[in-house]
Amino acid sequence: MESLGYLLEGFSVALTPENLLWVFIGVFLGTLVGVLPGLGTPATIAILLPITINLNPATGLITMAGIYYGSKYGGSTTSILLNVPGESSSVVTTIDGYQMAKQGRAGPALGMAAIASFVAGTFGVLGLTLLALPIARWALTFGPPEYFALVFLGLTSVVFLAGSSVIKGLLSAVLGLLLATIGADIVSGENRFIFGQFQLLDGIEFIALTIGVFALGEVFVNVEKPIGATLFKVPKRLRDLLPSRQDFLDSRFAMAQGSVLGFLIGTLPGAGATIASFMSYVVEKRFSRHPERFGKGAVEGVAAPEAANNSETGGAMIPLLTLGIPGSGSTAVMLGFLILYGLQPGPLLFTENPEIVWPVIASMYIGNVALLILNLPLVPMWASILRFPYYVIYPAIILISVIGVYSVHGSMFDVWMLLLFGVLGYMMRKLDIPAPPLILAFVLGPTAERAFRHSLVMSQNSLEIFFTRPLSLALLAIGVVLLVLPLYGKARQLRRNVVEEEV
Amino acid sequence: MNGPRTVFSILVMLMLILAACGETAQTGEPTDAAEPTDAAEPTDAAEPPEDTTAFTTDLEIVVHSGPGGGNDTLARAMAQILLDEGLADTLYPVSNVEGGSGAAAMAYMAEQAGEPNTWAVHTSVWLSTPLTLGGDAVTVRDLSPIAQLVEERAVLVVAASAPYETLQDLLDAASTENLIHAGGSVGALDHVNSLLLQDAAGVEFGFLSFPGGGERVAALLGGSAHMMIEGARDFIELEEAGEVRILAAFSAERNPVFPDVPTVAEATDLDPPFVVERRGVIGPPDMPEEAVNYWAGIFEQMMATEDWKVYEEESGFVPSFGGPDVHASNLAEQEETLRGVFEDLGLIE
Repeated sequence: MESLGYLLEGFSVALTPENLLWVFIGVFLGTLVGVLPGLGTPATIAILLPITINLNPATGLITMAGIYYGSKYGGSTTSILLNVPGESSSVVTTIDGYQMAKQGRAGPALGMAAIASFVAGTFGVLGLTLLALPIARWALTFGPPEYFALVFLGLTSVVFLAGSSVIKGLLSAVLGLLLATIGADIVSGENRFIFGQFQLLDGIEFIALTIGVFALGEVFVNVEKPIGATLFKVPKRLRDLLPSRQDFLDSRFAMAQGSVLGFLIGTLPGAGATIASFMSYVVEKRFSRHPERFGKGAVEGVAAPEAANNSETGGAMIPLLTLGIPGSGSTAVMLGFLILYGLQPGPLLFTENPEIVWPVIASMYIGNVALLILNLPLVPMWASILRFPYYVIYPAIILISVIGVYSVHGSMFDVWMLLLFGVLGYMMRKLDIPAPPLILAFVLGPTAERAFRHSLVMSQNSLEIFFTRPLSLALLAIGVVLLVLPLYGKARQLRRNVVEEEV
Repeated sequence: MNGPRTVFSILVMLMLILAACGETAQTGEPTDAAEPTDAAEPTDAAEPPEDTTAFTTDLEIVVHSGPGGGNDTLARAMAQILLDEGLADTLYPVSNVEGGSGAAAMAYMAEQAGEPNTWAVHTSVWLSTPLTLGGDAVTVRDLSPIAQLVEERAVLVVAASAPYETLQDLLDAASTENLIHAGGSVGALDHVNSLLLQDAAGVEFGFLSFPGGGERVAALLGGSAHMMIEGARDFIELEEAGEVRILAAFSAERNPVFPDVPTVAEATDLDPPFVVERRGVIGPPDMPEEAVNYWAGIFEQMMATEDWKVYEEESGFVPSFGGPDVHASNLAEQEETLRGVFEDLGLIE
């Protein structure tokens, strides 16, 4: 248990008044900038980097940790308040979070997001401290067949996100898969569907698609309605602006499974916060006693993905610190921190330089705590943004969306894509086709395809490989069951209706 | 409605301020007036001092990766070293023109035709991407090569648990087993070099492409793949920890990072025409010749400084300076090899 000792030592190094001041500044600025859609965590850190560059390394690191968590939280904030996901890991939060906001429960949603993130972050750090080495080795046994099976499981869970109509959900997912094929195919090297536009070589920009379909789609649909004065009712009492005891009770399972699931998925290099948040949401819905509440403002629907995308960071630090492998976007950022301060992460970092590594981990945790302390009191302030009338908020959403999308690559092409997808989002909403399956398929499709084709390379084109490896077989079986079960239930119902009609 | 309105206006103001900061963060320096370089630096004693203010005023460095990417860190390091060593008066800003694997940056450079105060730090992807795009894509022949700076030589590694002690062992095994190479995108240099080796040895490897180095290492260590071919410095830590074994250097001479590792030619009897990753500097189309020579001279001086040598060693670069003509001919040679390989792969448009 010497790791625990190191962790405590790390805390003692990180916790100085100066550092504490800076981490709060980092959290505040991170949230503010993270609120702007399109500015995901890496971009936020890039923007705020000049502030940290003149600080001493330890303080700089802790400030960056604050910025990191702040920007993640900022992303969740816009997901909940404006239905505009700040980054891919907050897409799932929009499903129930925005519904809660519409019902005047933005405060509890925001508060629950912060608390779930905190709980999961704690779990993540503890897991990292106690389980790093054995989990690292386990994670390595995940090869392409297992990745495919995992992502297949994720894709079949689309059925659970589909809402009322399974067909429409599948339609949305297939559309997402189609859009995901655009770009350079990594396995064959061919450029698919780019129509000669080099801007499409890397595929459709995720932020343009997501913000277009969610935010602009929403704006366009609402433009048709007669203008009302206020957007949502925002309660005045402070008590209603924070999560209630009932919310906590409802979310406890969500926070637990979100933490564990997020952590485990985080340890797999290449599987990141997006998959973690989707899976956690789906598991929560599947095992809930009231699955019909999901999609209509269930607080667990916010707690689960928020927990998952936070503990994912802890999990992703395991391959980073034990093998020098950045597991996902969040740790690529972390890798950047470490390199910036002259550290070369690799298998030896953990064992040879514990005095550097543990203060870093401790700093991450302190950032997490600072986030909670700072943002909970500010929840009423954020929630009161919704007091503005439609005619202020919607132009603001459009403005922020365009700026956010443009800022990714400095390209007007992306902005036109944004508008195009806004129209798509509008059409989907009119036709009652759910948007989350499209995004899910868009994000997971390429991973699934790549893993599948890699598996075939490994097995020299034999499909056996999926079934001879136990873990892959197990995951695939669960996926098939998940896919078939609801359809089976519907078939039975259909037959019953037919029988009733005949009678 | 007073409270929310104030909050809103503050938020808008903050947003605008941050957007402005974002602009400066991206370009690295607030856009204030550049100081004129009165004391123009002569490129060497024999040439008359020229007025180089036009070359250095508002200088922009272009890279095709995002902040923190390989070329970005190199460009920023160069700007810092140039400033510290007195070869520049200000810290030159770096513009990250991402998109299309370099195509966006190349298109941007083409727009600066005739300008003496822009240059880009580039890698071989500026050769490969136009080959796959075809059509009107900008190629390096449209631009003005200024200087070749360094080489990054690749090595082939296997997991330490693998039974192959030498490259020849690996090649022998490849004839009976399905050996798999974990690498980057199809057509990236590691894949190209692997194909050249396969051609020369008469064997075939399976290929798994992963966008990120981390995933490749995971595949190697987890047993999904048998080998990787990457720049040497990526393996320093892993080798020290005993996780991987380095079999051969993919270059004409041994790799200074791992001097005990034989080259492919030494380890086997093969001598494939490897494409070595080179990083260089290139200017816009029709860059004035005086500007090209000026910058080539600056870079030559930069590479002689202590600061640069330290940076080189830390980064695993092998110095390989070449002036404009050498750079241009090396680029042409590499392009030919790449074109051959891409045609075989069916990647050429």
